[in-house]
Amino acid sequence: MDFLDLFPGLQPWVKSLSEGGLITLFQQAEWLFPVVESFHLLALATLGGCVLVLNLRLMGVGMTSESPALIEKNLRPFLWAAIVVLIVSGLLMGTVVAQRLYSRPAFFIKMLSLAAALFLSLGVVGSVARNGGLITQPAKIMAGVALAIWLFAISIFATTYGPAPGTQHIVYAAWLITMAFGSKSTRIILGAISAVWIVAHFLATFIIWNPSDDYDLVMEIDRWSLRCFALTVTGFMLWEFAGPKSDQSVSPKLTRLIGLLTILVWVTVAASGRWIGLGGGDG
Amino acid sequence: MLHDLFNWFQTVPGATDGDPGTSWAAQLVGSLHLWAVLEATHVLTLMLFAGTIIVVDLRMLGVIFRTVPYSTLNNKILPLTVAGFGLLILTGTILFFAEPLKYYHSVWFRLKMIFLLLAAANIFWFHRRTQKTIAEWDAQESPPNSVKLAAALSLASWGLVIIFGRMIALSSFNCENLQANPVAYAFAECESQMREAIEAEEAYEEEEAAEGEAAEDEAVEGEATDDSAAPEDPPPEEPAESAPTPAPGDGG
Repeated sequence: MDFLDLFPGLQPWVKSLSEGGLITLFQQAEWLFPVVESFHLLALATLGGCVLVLNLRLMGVGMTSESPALIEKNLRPFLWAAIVVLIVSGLLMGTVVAQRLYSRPAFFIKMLSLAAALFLSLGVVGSVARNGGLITQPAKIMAGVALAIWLFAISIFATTYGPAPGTQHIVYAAWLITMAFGSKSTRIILGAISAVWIVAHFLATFIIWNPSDDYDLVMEIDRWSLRCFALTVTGFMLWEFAGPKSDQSVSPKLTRLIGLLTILVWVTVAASGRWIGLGGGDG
Repeated sequence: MLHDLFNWFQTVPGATDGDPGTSWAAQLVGSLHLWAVLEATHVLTLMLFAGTIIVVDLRMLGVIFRTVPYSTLNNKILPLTVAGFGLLILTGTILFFAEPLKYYHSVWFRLKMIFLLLAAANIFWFHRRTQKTIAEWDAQESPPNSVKLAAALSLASWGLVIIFGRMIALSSFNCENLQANPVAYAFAECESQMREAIEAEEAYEEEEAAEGEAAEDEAVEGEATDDSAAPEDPPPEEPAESAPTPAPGDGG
């Protein structure tokens, strides 16, 4: 699914974008695009820091000695600055390659998850942090909408030939969070399962079968192996951060889940963004 | 010397029957998804590594978290930075050995490594000298100038590492396009890269010639086509051709 499928009527407008003066400028100065993209990356890094530090605190880990309200207040200007730079540089790059983005599923996935991420970071998380972890009714509804958009986005992400391998990043991010902040028993069990998974996956897709002989089979193994691993990680992650043993005094259960969701949604935005140019697809 | 070593890494290990196209490096570049997943992981890890180091540096500059002791960030945030750094080095090293010659002779990669070393030296210096006095300034809203200098150097050098990293994909700075720029040409040691490229070009043309004259299936030695190889022509780099190198306009 992409914007071309959904809004074929926009074709003339997209075409006019790629015939404007901006694209001539970018064609004349070959270095301009990478420079703009560098700023996109610097802002991405800043955003990553702000999102991680604040939302880990909402999850009840990281800088737990400080209140979420204080962390939110300190990081807010940098979060906003990062989002503004990301959007401005993104619009510049997007205008230049508009025709390509128009027919790329990865770009559609990115815009969906970006909507969910902006809802969460600017609408929900700020209010939750300022209210000391309490979630107001509007924030609850917004978080629910964001969750629905995100689930829709990753279901397309995981099932679209081309960008699908990019969903691995979301699973790995969840894995890292669980391994970094989970209990000792979770680390040992999930670590052991992961080691077995890596060895088994390598054996199945390189030794027993390999992509050059059994392409379709290896692709199918890849898909199902990642789905099983994703379910396993999700199970451990939810057990750790929203299970019966999680400490409610540092951060309430729903607040933890909102922090976790916000981090994973931003990872989805970045991952689908990077996979616009990777994994082949429809050219 | 390093050129020869990396040439060996790119063409020999894993190669069957001496065919460089089957080496591990070439297999990684031509892999189904492995190269792409590693590259994207490398980029996404910036959110973890650079993102958290920016937060710590801003505290050292006295810009944010002024009421929070530095040691809180040092203990709670810096471990995340270290984890991110480990992941970047791991993915970066594997990606380097996918096309070691390309990176070794890249102006931007060399600049990136210089600023990476500068950033590392800055961290080392900070930990050796400045952090010893941490008890004196830990709770200060605005730490002393030496601490601020370390933070500013860190921000500047990591920022440049990220920018130069993105520039590596800029093909107009590859050796074959750098002949008009003697400083960059020398900086990237393009001499040895181009020598090999010219030789490869010659070998390729010989092969073509040999194939054309199917009747005379003689392996021609080097001298025969010495003059025909124009250095301006791009060399036939088989594995690099199929590499999913991010071209301008590929990212997002």
